[in-house]
Amino acid sequence: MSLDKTFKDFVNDFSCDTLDEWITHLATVELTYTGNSACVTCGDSVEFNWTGKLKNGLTYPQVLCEVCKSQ
Amino acid sequence: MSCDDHTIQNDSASVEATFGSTIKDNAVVKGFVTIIKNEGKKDEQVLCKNKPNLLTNDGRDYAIAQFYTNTSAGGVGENFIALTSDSSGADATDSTLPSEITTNGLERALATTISHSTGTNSTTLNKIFTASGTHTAVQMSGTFNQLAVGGTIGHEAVFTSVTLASSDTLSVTWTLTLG
Repeated sequence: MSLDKTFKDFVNDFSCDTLDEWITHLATVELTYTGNSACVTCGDSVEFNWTGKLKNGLTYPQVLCEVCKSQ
Repeated sequence: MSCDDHTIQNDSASVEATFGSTIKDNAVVKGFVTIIKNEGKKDEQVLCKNKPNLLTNDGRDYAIAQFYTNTSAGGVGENFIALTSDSSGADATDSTLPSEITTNGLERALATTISHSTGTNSTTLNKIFTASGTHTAVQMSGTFNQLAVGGTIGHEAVFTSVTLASSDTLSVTWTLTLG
């Protein structure tokens, strides 16, 4: 498959033009996400490096900080 | 042509034509914006969903500088999100976000979520603003490379005009693709 559409997954040789298709794709393949986000419980900023299938309907993982995770 | 006519097409050329009016000259960097008032609450209101945004001329130049022409250390990413109630619309020639909001919770802020998935061309920025006063007719967002007013504007997108009361939230999500 040639990756000639808007969203491209070079790891899994997939591309699509709509965000809905992209979100569906992210739920089916394991990818590694890196960045920063707010802990979904306390709101503290969390740096993450997470690998998995993204099944939350978003394009990024929702993360917990270490404190909230341990509770 | 109805919306259904668009959604059943697999011809990517037609899709490009649909988006062409807003991002015609910056096709390598694309993006979509979703903006939701009071997300997750009973009065949730989706103001725009997956709407193509516009890469400004300055934003394109900034990207080129980062990639190709800078001979010194690189600049900060376009990961600060700003809002305005200006109704002039998104314009590739904008060098500022007109009448940018600077008070009451909607002032420019670093995206709370900045996420990139390795091996893809997709990056997501998200910020949930919480109004601390009334804002009328908020209707456009932009991304910048610094927190203070000024800097280089990267993207702009217009959404359905909305009025926020104190404690209302506005979730702004930019999903950006490069290459």
